[in-house]
Amino acid sequence: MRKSHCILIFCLLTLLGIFSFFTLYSRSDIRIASKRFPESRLLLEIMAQLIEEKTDLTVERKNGLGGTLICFQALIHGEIDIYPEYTGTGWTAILKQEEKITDPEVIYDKVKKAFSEKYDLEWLSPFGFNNTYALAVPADFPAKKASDLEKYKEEIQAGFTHEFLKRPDGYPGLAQHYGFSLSDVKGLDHGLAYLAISQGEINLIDAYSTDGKIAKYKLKILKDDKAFFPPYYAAPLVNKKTLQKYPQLREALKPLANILDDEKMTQLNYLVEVEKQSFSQVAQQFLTKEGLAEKNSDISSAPKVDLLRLTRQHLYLTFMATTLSILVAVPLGLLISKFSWLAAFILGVCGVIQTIPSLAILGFMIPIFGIGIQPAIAALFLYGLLPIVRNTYTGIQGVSGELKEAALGMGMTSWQIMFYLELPLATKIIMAGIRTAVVINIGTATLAAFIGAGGLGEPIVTGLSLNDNDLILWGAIPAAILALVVDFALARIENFIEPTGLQIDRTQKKS
Amino acid sequence: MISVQNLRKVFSPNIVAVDDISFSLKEGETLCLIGTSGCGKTTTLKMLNRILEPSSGEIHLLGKNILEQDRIEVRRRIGYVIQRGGLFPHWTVAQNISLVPRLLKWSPEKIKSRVEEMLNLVDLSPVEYIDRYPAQLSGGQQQRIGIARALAADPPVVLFDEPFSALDPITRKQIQEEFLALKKKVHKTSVFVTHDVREAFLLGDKILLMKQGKMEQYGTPEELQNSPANEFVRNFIQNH
Repeated sequence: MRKSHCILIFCLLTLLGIFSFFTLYSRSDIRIASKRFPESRLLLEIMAQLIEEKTDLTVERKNGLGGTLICFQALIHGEIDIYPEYTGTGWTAILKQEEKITDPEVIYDKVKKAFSEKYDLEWLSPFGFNNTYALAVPADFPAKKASDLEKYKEEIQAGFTHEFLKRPDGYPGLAQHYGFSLSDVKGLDHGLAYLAISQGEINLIDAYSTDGKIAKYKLKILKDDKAFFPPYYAAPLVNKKTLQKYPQLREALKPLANILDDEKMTQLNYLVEVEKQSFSQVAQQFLTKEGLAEKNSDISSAPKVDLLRLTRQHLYLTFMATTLSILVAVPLGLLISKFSWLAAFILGVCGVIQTIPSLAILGFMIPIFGIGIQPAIAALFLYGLLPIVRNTYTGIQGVSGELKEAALGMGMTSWQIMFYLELPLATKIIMAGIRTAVVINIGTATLAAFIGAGGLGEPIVTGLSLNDNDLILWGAIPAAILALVVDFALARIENFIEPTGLQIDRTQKKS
Repeated sequence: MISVQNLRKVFSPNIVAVDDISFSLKEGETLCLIGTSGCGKTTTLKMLNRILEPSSGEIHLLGKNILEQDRIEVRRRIGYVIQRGGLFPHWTVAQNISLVPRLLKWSPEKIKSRVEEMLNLVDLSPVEYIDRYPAQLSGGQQQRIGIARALAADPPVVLFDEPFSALDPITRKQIQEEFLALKKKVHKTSVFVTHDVREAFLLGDKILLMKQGKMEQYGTPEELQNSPANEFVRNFIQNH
């Protein structure tokens, strides 16, 4: 009757979940990733479209996968095949070299050699432009060059990206090289930093020299007069195994060598960042103009956000994570209700997990599971534990001792007492814990996009890096609605699976 | 039917809850355990179905020492009724009554007819009550279902742990009379814990009065009434 219905629904949902996995995350031949800023995303799109145009390979885009570390780790672990990297970043941030090299060709040769030997990765030919780090200030700020900063250090309120704050070729090296130290330095997301500087909250940011927004926000670049920043020539960084497996790849990407100079790149960035054209549109126009692709109108008409796919991915992440949480947390809750000396310890551990910031927990999972959906599910799984363990424990503890004694006295075994008495009486409370876990996880799953797991966080992450509020809302509003709808649905299920006798008991006590 | 010898229960470290209790009952007899609260009467009862393990002593049911048998098996052969009936709120009347027969894996047909038989026995119409939930019953009805559940598997002995103490005086009086009627019908041996002297004298064929774990007097109601063993017994009977 009711019980068998529930089991049937559960089986169907599980099948749907497994099915979703294959449709949502089928593996493509080539997986290209990008970092979380527009230029990197655009280079990804240009490479992806060119490969699709010139070869029969299927391409998967891991747009805005993460910062340097995440992209690089993903590449050496074979989670992705290509991402656009910058020579200066490879030299200082990945190889951790302190030697100053200002000749772009020397640095390219050195990283190419080192990456090939050390990591089995290959730097293809650079795209041609140099997107070095730059310090940007409002146009009316008196400083003209980086060495002026010491003079104005009292007035400076800096907002640097977290990566820039940590990298040796970023703020620490810069301050040392120029011999100044700023008193007011905040860590900010790149997209937000532009917003903050345009509103006068801060007056110094790190920018990329080919950034399209420098013109938009009327900023000026301080001259790197003591030549601190190394050259940052962008090039496709590719896993050698992929090149061996698909030799046509090298051929397909060849035309990209030296195709973009600083001015062209800045112009393309301007189109996506300021004019808000889609990456695919700008990439396609560029490739057509360069004679590398046929005119093809179906890309430009593609919707900006594929809400259905993102929602399904989002639900998939939440569903899989919560299912795992239930499978672990309910038995754990039962266990600690039997062995009360374990309760404080287990609940304490789950509580500590809950206090770890979501992004940090996602970060911890990368070394274990790589990038993509597994670490996201693992992190969400951990978040789901506490509410379910706690409610299972509370629910079982709440079963009256009188009833348990009656059951015992009539010859029920402890397993029978658990399954026929304690669990049914605790259903509603356990279900309430599951509901809390699901709603927490729908919210937290938006962060999964930061590690390439997709979901409704994808437009939020992209929107943040593009400073595109519309795009952020395309992710945030559906995620909020999803949380409300799922919460409502689960509340219904909660009432539905509560044993009839208890429902009657509850309604009678109310009246 | 049931005989208890030198039953003793010591809770750690050295609190003697029950000290040297012995009695024996013939088939159909009712023993009432009475005494002030904390005298060990409930502890004694709980040793009879081994919810508590005796520290020493012997309990023989139908000639066999139950302390040497499987605990779960023993419990299924002994009926158990607690305060307010102890019905499972998420189960219907039928499911509650059939609990022990189901544990004993009776056939569904046998269970169904037994449930109806039990409802008739406690004067509740099967058609009307069989699918109700405990929340849909009055306190007295719940208690009657509790008794029906204890009798369902036809156990030789039924234990009652202050079953009627939560009922209002009128319902209580009514159900005590039903208990007596039932006793004549089913002829069960029972051990009945109560703190109500009047209830004990009304229902018991034998009475065991306890104080601080020790047996003060054991005998028929008449014996306790007419020749109390000591001052405590006399006072207890008069003042309660």
